[in-house]
Amino acid sequence: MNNRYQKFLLFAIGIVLVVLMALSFGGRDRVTFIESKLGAVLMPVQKFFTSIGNFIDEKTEPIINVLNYKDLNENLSRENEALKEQIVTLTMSQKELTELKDLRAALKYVSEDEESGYISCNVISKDMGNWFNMFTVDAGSNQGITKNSTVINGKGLVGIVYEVGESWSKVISIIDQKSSVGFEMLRVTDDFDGVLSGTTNYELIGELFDPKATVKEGDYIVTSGLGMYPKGILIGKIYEVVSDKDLVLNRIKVTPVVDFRKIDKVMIIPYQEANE
Amino acid sequence: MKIRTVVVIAFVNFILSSTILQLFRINDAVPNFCIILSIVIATLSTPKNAFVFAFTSGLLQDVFLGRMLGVNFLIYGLLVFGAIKIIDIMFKGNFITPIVLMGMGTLFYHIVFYVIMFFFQSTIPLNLMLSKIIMETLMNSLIGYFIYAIIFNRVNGYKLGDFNA
Repeated sequence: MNNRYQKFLLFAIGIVLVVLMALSFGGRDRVTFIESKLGAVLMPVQKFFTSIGNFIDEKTEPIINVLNYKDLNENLSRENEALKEQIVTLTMSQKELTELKDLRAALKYVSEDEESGYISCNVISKDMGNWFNMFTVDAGSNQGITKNSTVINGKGLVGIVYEVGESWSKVISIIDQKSSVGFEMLRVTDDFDGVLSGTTNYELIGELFDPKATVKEGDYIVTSGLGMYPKGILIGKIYEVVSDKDLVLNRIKVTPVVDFRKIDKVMIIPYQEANE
Repeated sequence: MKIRTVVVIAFVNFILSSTILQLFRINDAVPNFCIILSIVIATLSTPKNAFVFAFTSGLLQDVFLGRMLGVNFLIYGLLVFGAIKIIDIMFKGNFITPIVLMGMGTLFYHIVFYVIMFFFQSTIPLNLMLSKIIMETLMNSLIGYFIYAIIFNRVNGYKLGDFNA
């Protein structure tokens, strides 16, 4: 192979790769047959090694965190007290809600479809690099998962499905720098809206649409239903309100309720066109 | 080393790096064994083996854990190309060689990744990534040194840095 031909070949490969990057950027609607099957072959092996990793992590975590238990106990005690107070308020609200539901039934209102059909799955592999926060799960189009389906776990919002294979899916988490989530405050009144985006450092930064919005540290935020995510999924807790006169919109910093370092099981809510 | 052995190494590396090796995240950074092995194969085996390993690893990473196809494929390919050129002017038996190559290789990976992401308007500010990149570079240099030393000993029959051999 002469030198000129070699250079031309390298240039051509470079062009093809750039085109490929542009075409696949943002996630493909459907992956190819080979990728899908290859994923299906690799999945059991990855699942096996992930379970070993989770086992080791589970067994070593108490040893690593032994010095933090005192602080953890104190925090839990404080949280427990606050939750007891909340129970009283929520019980009263629940009574009111039951009455309203009875009233709705009496008036024969057609209820909106509640979100159902969660697909439970395991995280089988995590991003090898340090730039993005992506992972794959052991469920795909065979289980009814589609692109842009919402991914949650027992604590709250995890992310969104990016690409789907037959028996695996690629998920991008909300802490990823390029993720954005519409949110609102978890309040009975003054439920200000805004948009959050990830920072890669396990925190989220958000902007409130209303310049006069009053929010405080410790407030919880949930998805607003704007965009891909269904309404009412817990996202996190505000830990800092940035008050800068130069900023037109109020900015908040949020700690996600989900521990992204320790995700092993998730649930997926299949994306429905009505969510758009 | 046969081509199929190299492909198997790439698959095993992908499986382990994306699963059990995630436990070794320090300061939220994980060592990149694709960079380490690409450089080790490029310097201590044949260029053909190195390119096969780099392209297979890049492809697997792009398909199953990447934002878009081709990025890692391209960067690992360029990394191997650079390593082959550089090793011609470096002494393979010096213990500094793997440390320098791993460190430079990791920085090169992140710089090219940043540039590509910049053109796709999908980049992350470098200040947010700096601590992770530094940590990864240190880990890659350290782990890469040991892997290089072991392979060097097997290939050449004497220890790395043993100038009396």
